Amino acid sequence: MRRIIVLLALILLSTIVVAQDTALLVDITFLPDGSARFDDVQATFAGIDHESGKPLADGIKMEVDGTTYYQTYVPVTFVLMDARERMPEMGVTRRLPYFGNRGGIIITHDDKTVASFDLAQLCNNDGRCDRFENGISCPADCEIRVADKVCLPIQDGGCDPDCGQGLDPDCGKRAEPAPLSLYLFGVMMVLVALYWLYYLFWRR
Amino acid sequence: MRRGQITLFIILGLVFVIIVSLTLYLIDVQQREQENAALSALDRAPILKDDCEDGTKNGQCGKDRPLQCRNGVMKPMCSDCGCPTNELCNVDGTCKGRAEQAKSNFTFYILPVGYAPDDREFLLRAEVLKAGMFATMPFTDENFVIVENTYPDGDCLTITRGFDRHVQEWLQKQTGHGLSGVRFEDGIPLYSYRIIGISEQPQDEARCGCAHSLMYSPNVFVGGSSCGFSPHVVLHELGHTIGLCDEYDTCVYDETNKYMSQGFGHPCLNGKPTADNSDCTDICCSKDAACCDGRFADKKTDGFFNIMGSGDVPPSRRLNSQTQAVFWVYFCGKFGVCP
Repeated sequence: MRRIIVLLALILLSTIVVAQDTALLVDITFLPDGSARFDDVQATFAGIDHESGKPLADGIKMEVDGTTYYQTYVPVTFVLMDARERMPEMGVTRRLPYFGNRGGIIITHDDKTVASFDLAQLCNNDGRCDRFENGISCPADCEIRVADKVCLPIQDGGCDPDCGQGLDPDCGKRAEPAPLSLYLFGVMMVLVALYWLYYLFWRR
Repeated sequence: MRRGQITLFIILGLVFVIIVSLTLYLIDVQQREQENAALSALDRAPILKDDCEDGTKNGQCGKDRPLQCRNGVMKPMCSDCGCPTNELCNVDGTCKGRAEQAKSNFTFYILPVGYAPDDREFLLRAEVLKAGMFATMPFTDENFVIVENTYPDGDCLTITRGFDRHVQEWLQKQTGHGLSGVRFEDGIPLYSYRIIGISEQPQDEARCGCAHSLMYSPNVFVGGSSCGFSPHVVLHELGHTIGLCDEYDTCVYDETNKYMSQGFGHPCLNGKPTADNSDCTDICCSKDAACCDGRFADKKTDGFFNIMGSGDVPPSRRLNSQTQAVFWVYFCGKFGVCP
């Protein structure tokens, strides 16, 4: 019963979560010395973070051929409210716009580049579904039937193992055998019919 | 016929029925398995590789982005070929103009940290949490989703860092959609969701507190110590995520107020605890504990303290009028959670 309620809630939610795009899900760790590192970058299906125009010390830029096309800032404090200790590092997840695998993401601290990520890593066309690749950024390496943590719920001729039940239209019902009780009932019906025929023609 | 013969006849008949049924059933199972195996083999059929009519080689991008030659047919493949300027790569390979983020409703994702999603204690805590929210704002059951995927327990100070990705991946698997993006108003991040991770692990309160969060963050961690079971503790953390500061220590308040001004360009949205409006004086905490209960809600004679004070109960806690107003401006004004 609870599963049905959750499913209904999710269906309702999917109608609420609107205007979603293909986004780059970017995990970044900021350190107190001003440095930063990329923990993960994956193309996915999600809402995109709007640009924050207000300049802060730590920022994220997206560039192609030296031209910035997206810029936002991240408040980094290491102050965890109500904890008695400061965080040794701060991890954030951002959803950046996905324009393809060209260019790069740059993290800045006081306008200096502290880390960068080459978006070409999202697809290297080597026939294997590698760390940063998935069916969105690299369909050549990550076929739809390969599990890559991203569900593509579209009719594309292949069942995506990353999709929940009933989400991918390609994941049709597999052939299931009829229940055993049906066979028992069928055979008994045949026997009853035979007995009736025997009674009708033989015993008379 | 004698009774014994009739009984024997019935037993033999039943045995016959069972044997025949089982045989038919097993034959059917075998046939279906063969069909499924054939279907899987068909799924893995090799792809023929041909160049396209306009001369574009297989796998190469055409002149018009995002088209790419795939097995003799030009298909949109923006992930490989990119999109024209100011267009976004869509999930089906096509490009489209940048979509505006809609002002959606508000969702609480209640995440089991260490708990199994169907753990009775976790579900009970989730219900208590919801009841606390219902008493504060006109939320309904539709605003709450239990994440049916356990987040591994870990260090209380760094545990919230993976909440976003964990819920994103679970939600995307279940609905095809992910979490909404953040929008900004005058540099203030506005997330249309909160992820409330409820941990089963009783952590070191002197180090980790009952619960914690970051200012304006979408993530809240609620510990497994007894104080983490109180709904007002979750409301307190929720207050931080909408710009309210701690009221249990004047120095902590001053420190938070300072970096709020530096980081977000505005001070705490609640007033400082003083000798007049709270049971605090101008003292700083010297120990790993709250100094005072905090500000009254709303008068000393009310007998209640505001939820942005300490986690201690007693005294009784509720939202004072200023905190209530901040909640209303945020949830009703920004996200339409209004009566």
